[in-house]
Formats: sequence, structure tokens, C-alpha cells
Amino acid sequence: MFTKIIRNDLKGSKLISFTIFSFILFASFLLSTVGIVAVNLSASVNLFAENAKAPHFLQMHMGNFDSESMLSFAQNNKHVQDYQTMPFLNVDASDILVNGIRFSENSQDNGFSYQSENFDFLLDLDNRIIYPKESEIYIPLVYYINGNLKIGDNITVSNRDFTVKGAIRDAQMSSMLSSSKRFLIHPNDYEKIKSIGREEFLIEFLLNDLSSINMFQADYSNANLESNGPTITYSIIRLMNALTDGIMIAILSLIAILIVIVSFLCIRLTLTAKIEDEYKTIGVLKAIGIRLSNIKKIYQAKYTLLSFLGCVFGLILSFVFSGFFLQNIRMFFGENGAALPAAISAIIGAMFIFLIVMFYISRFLNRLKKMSPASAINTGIVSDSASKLKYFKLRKQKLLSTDSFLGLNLILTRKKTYLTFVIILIIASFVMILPNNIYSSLASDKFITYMGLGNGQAMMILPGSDQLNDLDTYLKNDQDVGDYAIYDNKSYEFMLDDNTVSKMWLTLGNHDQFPVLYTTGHAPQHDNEIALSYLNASGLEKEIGDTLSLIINRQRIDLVITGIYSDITNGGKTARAAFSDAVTPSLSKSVLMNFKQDISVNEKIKSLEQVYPNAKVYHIESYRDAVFGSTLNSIRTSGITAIILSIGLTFLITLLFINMLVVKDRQNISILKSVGFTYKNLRKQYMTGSLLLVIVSMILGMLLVSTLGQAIAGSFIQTMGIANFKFDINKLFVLFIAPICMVTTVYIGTGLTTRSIKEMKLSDYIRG
Amino acid sequence: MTRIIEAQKITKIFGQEKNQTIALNDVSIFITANEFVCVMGPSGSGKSTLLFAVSGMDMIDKGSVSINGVPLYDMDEQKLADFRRKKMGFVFQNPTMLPSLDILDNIMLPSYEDYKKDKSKLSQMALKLMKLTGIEGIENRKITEVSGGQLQRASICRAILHNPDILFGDEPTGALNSKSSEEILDIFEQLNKKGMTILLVTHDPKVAARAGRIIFMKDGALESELNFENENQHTRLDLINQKMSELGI
Ligand SMILES: Nc1ncnc2c1ncn2[C@@H]1O[C@H](COP(=O)(O)OP(=O)(O)O)[C@@H](O)[C@H]1O
Ligand SMILES: [Mg+2]
Repeated sequence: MFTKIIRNDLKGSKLISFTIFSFILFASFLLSTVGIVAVNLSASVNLFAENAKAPHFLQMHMGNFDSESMLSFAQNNKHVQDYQTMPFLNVDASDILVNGIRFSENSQDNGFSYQSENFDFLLDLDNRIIYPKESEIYIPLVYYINGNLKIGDNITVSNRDFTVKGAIRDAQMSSMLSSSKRFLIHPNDYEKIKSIGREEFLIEFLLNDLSSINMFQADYSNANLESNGPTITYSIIRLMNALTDGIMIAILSLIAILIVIVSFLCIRLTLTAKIEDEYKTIGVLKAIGIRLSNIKKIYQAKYTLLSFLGCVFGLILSFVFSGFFLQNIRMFFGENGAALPAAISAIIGAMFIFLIVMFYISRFLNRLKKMSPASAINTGIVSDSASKLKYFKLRKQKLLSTDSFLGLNLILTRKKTYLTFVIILIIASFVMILPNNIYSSLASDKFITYMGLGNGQAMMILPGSDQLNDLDTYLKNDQDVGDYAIYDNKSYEFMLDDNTVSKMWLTLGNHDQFPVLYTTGHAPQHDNEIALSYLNASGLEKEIGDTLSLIINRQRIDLVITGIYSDITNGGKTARAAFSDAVTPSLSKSVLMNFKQDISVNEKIKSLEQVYPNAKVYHIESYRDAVFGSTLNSIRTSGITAIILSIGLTFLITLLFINMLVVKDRQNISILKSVGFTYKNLRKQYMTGSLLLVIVSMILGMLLVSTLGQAIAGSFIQTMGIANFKFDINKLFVLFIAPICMVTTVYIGTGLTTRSIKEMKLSDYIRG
Repeated sequence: MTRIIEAQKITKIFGQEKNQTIALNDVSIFITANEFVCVMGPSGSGKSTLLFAVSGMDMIDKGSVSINGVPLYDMDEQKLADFRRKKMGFVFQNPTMLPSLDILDNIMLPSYEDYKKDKSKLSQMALKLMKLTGIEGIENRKITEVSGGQLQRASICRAILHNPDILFGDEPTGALNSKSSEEILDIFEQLNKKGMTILLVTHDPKVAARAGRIIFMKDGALESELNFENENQHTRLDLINQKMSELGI
């Protein structure tokens, strides 16, 4: 008899059964997919890092290079496991011809290199170490992916022709922090084209133990070795590699988790509605003396069947579609052979959903215990909480039309149901806004100040060895240059709290002119003041108001810490001060500048590089794009995915909810119709409710994004050394486009669903 | 004498092809203004369907219905709703009220938009009716806090608040005890005396005995009629009971 009940039941409520089935399927699909993607990402990143042997410490250096003292430092330092220097030939994009045409990607430092001997290998797409033959060339992965260069293209540099053979994965360069891109060629070819560019050295160390990186870094700076260029450490390489896809995966997982929650809310709601509908049946079963445990069995059997099917199909779908999500990971990190663990984690994901649904249903069915057969048979209605309701009187209010009033009243009588609706709408707006806020923040001009760069148009870095007394005069007289500031980068010894001496990279100059972002405090203004980067301050365990003892010209001088700022340049450990010191030599000078209007930034950068041949000039916007470009791209992708997803979700949910409400409310609807309310009146009532709720949810969603969302995004970005990250929102999108999308979607959804009111026959629900 | 309800050859069919029920089969009825008519018949004979059909609450498959000479089924939904709200009142067997409003709001609900500017007048009228029907004092209660009889009286107040031309009732006293039932019928009689046309479906001979005319239905068609003029209560009941047992009610 039970199977008969189940069969009839499934037949009788096809729509609801199908809805529950789909939500379970969706939830299990998403969770399995998250499992597959997460396992693959971590396996791929690890395998890639293993094969590529990325350096633990990397110092880029331009200019003369004393290889003997470097070698002896490496041999004598107890932390060093392996050491190598790799040349990197900077070639201007205009000197690279692709199929006879000038190469257009000039926002990056393009350079040539040959394969390393010991570590920091450049790998092909199958994670194998590449050794190009003569006149063969391998290109940076980004150019391959973006389609700037293709396999088989002809590349000409310094009159030598190369054929593109494939793309390379470059553990440290694709980290982008260096904004350099390595092309790989044969060592003989390298020698032949050497004259066209400027050679730079990558001084690379592999350490015995990664945790000694801080001590090693101190040793390195104390040893007065070459340091004209950025420093990059392994953790940043790892981070930046994972970040590009990690941020996308983080966003997608967040969305997936939220959708799983939504699915659960919907499963709960459909179940509640279903069981309310079945109260009479359940009452009858109870009345004729069937045991509760048996009644539970009937329903449990049905939902076990539904959720089992849902989970199995969800799992199958996740296997079918995982390729789509894994594409990017495969491209950047290669195959990983983690198919089995990935499959296992997918199955665990699906099983988890199954168990939760089962647990939930069992708990839900326990409610039946409290129900007396008589009450179920007599009323058949379990209202949300109508009896506890505080009444609002129609006759006492003057503002609203009768329809709007009844619409609002509807919300109050079905508080719980509508609450679920609101929560889902909040989640939908959260999902819609968060990724786009992250995108607009990273893409905004202000973000540069988080990176430790002042907000100028260009930055010029000159080696300290150059005699640059005329620099100030030159810039002052240059018609194209607007405001500018010159900074000296010097290395100072300072006393640690235990009175040992260490070295620190200090930038001197006027820090009020192109301010960076101070997490706390302000820029140093007086001679006795200093500001530390966030990573530096947390490494030294210093706070604002603390003092730091510097040794300047053999004198110990106490400086007060006035500010802590975000910085990701030079490994993130920097300091800034305002005092002047003519004695200590500059390691390098940096100039931040704005150009006058109507000046082509790229042209001006080129001409400055001609005036100062040893200088490197960065277009700051391009620098930001170089560091965050591909991260920005994947955030934008997930942002768009999120918009589409949340609109789709909102639409479906609106259909489901309003439909369910209309069905639940049919008695009331018939009453209203019988006393002369029309379809239009009733639609207006539902419309008032849904529009009000979507607006409220939207506002709450925005608040949630700016609190919780900001905290999540901030803690993610903090790991990179960017502290106190604040959203820079795209007002047009957040305050205008997103709400309009949501409201329109709900409007259309409500409009479509309430149509059924028109067809509802009075005589079906009011019977004499 | 004007015909207030004119239903010509109406047919109403429920269901599709195989499972069809012909609930009304070519039925015509005419009701004059100020009549008090009852409809009786076995369960399933089409009484409720007839009531819904002549009041425009449900579509019909064939035939036409005019109220005061106005054809009902030519109107669009909006007009029909307005027409029903202004000209007709309904009372059903089970009280139909919104659980989210209190008694007084429920009574005034259909007339709100028509009395937008004069809500206080509307509530005065409603309170007067409540007094008349013997339920004064319960206006602020929830619908779950009053008895079935009180709720039914409130339904009647709602049905007659806007002073309709016709009052329809589908077994309005079916769920009440005989004392409440009598009291409610007294109200109906008073309304009828003041000029309201009344059409009631009932099972109860005592209810039918108050009418001027009784229409008997069987299998979706009119079977016969009883017309009363000066018969006393006793004779009426005898006639009705005789007819009922003929029809097997
Ligand atoms: N909504 C409906 N769907 C299908 N059949 C119906 C519906 N309403 C009434 N019927 C059928 O029409 C016939 C007349 O019903 P009804 O007018 O309610 O009878 P009465 O009120 O005289 O008891 C019955 O056979 C009933 O089963
Ligand atoms: Mg009936």
C-alpha cells in the first residue's frame, strides 16, 4: 500500500517533486564541482611548483654585477641550498617584429632568456622542461592565451628569425610582479642578439628551508650585494600564481556555497508547502490508526528516492562539466594526475548533500508528532503564525490603497515564507554585487596607492651610481612634465630590539606629494619621523608611536613611527622617511611624475628613457595592469557569471515563491474575488509585496557586501601585503544597474506567476 | 413587475471529454424584483452551480444571463467585478473571511474603494448593521475569536453593507444550529420586506418555508416549482417535505 501511496503522490505532485529534485541536483552538482576544482587546483599548483623549482629568493639587478663576491656569499651562507644567476635581456617591444610587424605588447618588459641549469625552469604546457633548438622560440603563456602570438608565428629580433614552437609556463614571471615576460631561446641565439637590449640579472637562490627566508633576506641586505631592482620571494610567487585563478575559484566557491544554501532554503520551503498540503492525508492516516513511524516511512521513502536521484545526477553532471571549470587551471598549471582524488572529493560532496537532505527531512517529519488528527482533518490549514499576528487595521490607515495594504498584510501573514524569499534575494544581490565591487576596486586608480606606489602617471627608476645632479633641473625645465617628486632609495642599518643590527631599504623624500595609502597614521613629515610598510611593521612587530633606531652616519638616531602603509613592491618590506642625508650614497633614485595634458604617456616614457639610458620608466597604469591584469580578467569573468547567475536565480525563485504563495492563498484569493476584487487588484497586491521585498533585500544585500563582503575580500587581499582594503564601488552599477536588474526580474517573475490567478475558478474553492 | 434575473438556457459542463459532468443542462430561470426564492434538490443536482452561474461567479458554456436587463457575460472582468460588487451580495455555507483582518475590516473590505473618501460613514453603516444582526461589540476581534453563528452574521453584514439589489446565499445556515438559523432567516425576511431580492440554496425545509417560491432541481435540470402565497407555516412544511421525499432528498 505504501508504494502505491508514493507512486500516486509523485504522479499527483509532479511539479513540486520535480522542483525538489532539481534543487537537490543543483546543490550536489555545485558541491561536487567545487570538490573537483579545489583538488585539481591544489594538485596542479603543487606539481607545477615542484617541476618548475621556483626560486625562494630573487633579486633583479640591472647594471654591473660582481659575480665572484656573489658566489662566495652564496657558498658561505648557511641557508643557501642552490644559487644561480640568469641573464635576462630586456628588449624594447619596438625591436621585436612578429611576422614582419612591430610587436604591440609594450606594457610589459619583454625579454629573452635561456633555460636555467639548476632550478627556476621554464616548462611547456605538459610541465616538461623545454630546451629550444637554435632559431626556435617559446613564448610567454599570457601572449599565447590572449592570442597576441600563435604557434608557427615568425619572430625577428636583431635580424635573427625565430619560429614560435610553443608556450611556456614561467613560475616567477607569470607571477607578474616583475611585470617582465620571458621568451625562451637557445643560449647561442641569446649571445647573438645580446647587443639589441639591456641585460639584467636574475640573482636566484634556493634555500634549504623556506622558513629561513627572513633571516636570509637580512643576510643578503647586510652583505651589501647588488640590489638595483625589485626583490621577489617565493611566497609572493606562490601567491600570485594561485591568485589569478584562486580568486576566481574563491569567488565561484563562494557563489556555489551560497547557491547550496539557497537550494536548501528552497527544498525546505517546498517540503513545508507540500506537507501542509498533505496535512489532511496525514491526519486521515493518523486517524485510522497508522503509526507515526509508518507515516514517516512513506514520506521518507519518497524523498530518499528523490534526493538519491538528484545527487546521482548532480554528480554525473559535475563530471561532465568539470572540464569547463578546469580549463584555466590546466592552461596555467598543467595536468596533475589527480583524477582519482578529485572524483573522490566530488562523491563526498554529493554524499554530503544527500545526508543533509535526509537529516533535514527526518527532523521535519518529527513535527508530525505534535499534530492531532482532528486538527489536521478539520482545518487542513497550518498558517504561519496567524494567531500570534498583531493586527493592522485597514480602516485606521490612510496612506495606502486597499490593494497595497492587503499586499503588505499578505507578507505579515506569511512571514516565514517571505523571510525565506528575502534571504534568497539578499544572497542573490550579494552574489551580484560582491565580485563586481572587487573588480571595480582593483581596477580603480586609487588601488595604485594600495600597491605602495604614489598615484602619479609615471615612475622612473634610476641607478644610484649615476651622477644625477641635473635631474631636478631637467624635470623642472621639461615642458611636458607637470608635478613630480624625486626620492632617494638608501639602505640603512637599524637596531632590532635585542640590539642586533639589520638593514632596511628606506625611501627619502617628500611623501606628501604622491601619497600612498596609509592604513593608520600619516606620512613622515619631520626629520625624526618614519613610516613602515604593513609587512615590515608586522614583521618587526612595531606600531604607530613606537620608535625605531637607525644608524645614520655612525650615529644612532631614534625615529618615531608615524604611519603604516600598504605596499607590495620590493617584497613588501619598505620604509619611508623625510630627513635629508647627503652622506649615505643612494642605491637608486625614483621619480614619480604627472605629465601635462595632451601628452602621450607612452611617447614621453620613451623619450625619457632616451635621455636617461640607464633608467627604467613605468607607466603606472600599465604597471598595475601588468601585476593585476589577468587577475582582473578572471574577476571580471566571475563578475559577469555572478550577474547572470543571480538574475537567473532571482527569476526562478520568484516564479517558485509567488506560485507557491498563490497556491497556498487560493482560498483567500477566492474570497477576495467573490466579493468583487479583480485579477488586476490581486496582482497589484502580490506586486506590492514582491517589489517591496526585493528593494529591502537589495539594500540589505548591499549592506552585507560592504560589511561581510568587504571583510572577506579584505582578508584575502591582506595576505598580499595590502592592508585595510576598502571597496571602491562602481556607483552606477551598484546603485542603479544592479537594483534595476533585480527589480525588473522580480517584477516580470511576479507578473508571469500571478497570471494563474486569472484562471482560478471561484467555484473550485468556495463550495456550498 | 420587472425581471431582475433572466437566465436563458444555460448549460455548464465540468471536466474534459471522458469525465464530463453536465452540471446544468439547458436551464432557464426568471426571478422578479423583490422575490424570495429558494432552490432545493439532492446533493450534486447543480444548485450551487446554478447560483454561481446566475451571479456571474463562474463562466457558463451555453446560454445567457441578464441582471436588470444587463447581459452579464458580455462584460469584461473589471466591469463584471464592479457590477457584482455593487448590485449583488453573497453568503456562503462556510464563512469566507480573510484571517489577516479583523471582523470590521472584513465586513468593509469590498466597499472600501467605493467609499474611499468617506470611510467613517462606511464604518458607521457597518457598525449599525452589526447591531442589527446582533453582533455588536465584536468588531475588533480576529475571525478565529468568534463563534460560527457570529461569523456567518458578519458575512451577511459584508454581503448587504453596500445595499445590493440581490442577495445570493448558498446554504447560508447549513453550518448553524436551529436557533442561530432562525435568527438569520429573520434578518433575510426583513431585508426582503425592504425590497431586496433573495435567492437561497438550501436543504432545510424550515428555511424554504419562508420563501415565496421554491425551485426543485434534479440532475442539472429544473424539476418543478412550488409557489406560496398565504399558506401557513404548517401547510408549507408539509408540501415541501412531500416534494423532498418524492425527490429522495
Ligand atoms: N469544479 C468542479 N469540477 C468538476 N465537477 C464539478 C465541479 N463543481 C461541481 N461539479 C459537479 O457538478 C455537479 C453539480 O454540482 P453542485 O452544483 O455543486 O451540486 P449541489 O450544489 O447541488 O450539491 C456535481 O455532479 C458535481 O460533482
Ligand atoms: Mg452545493
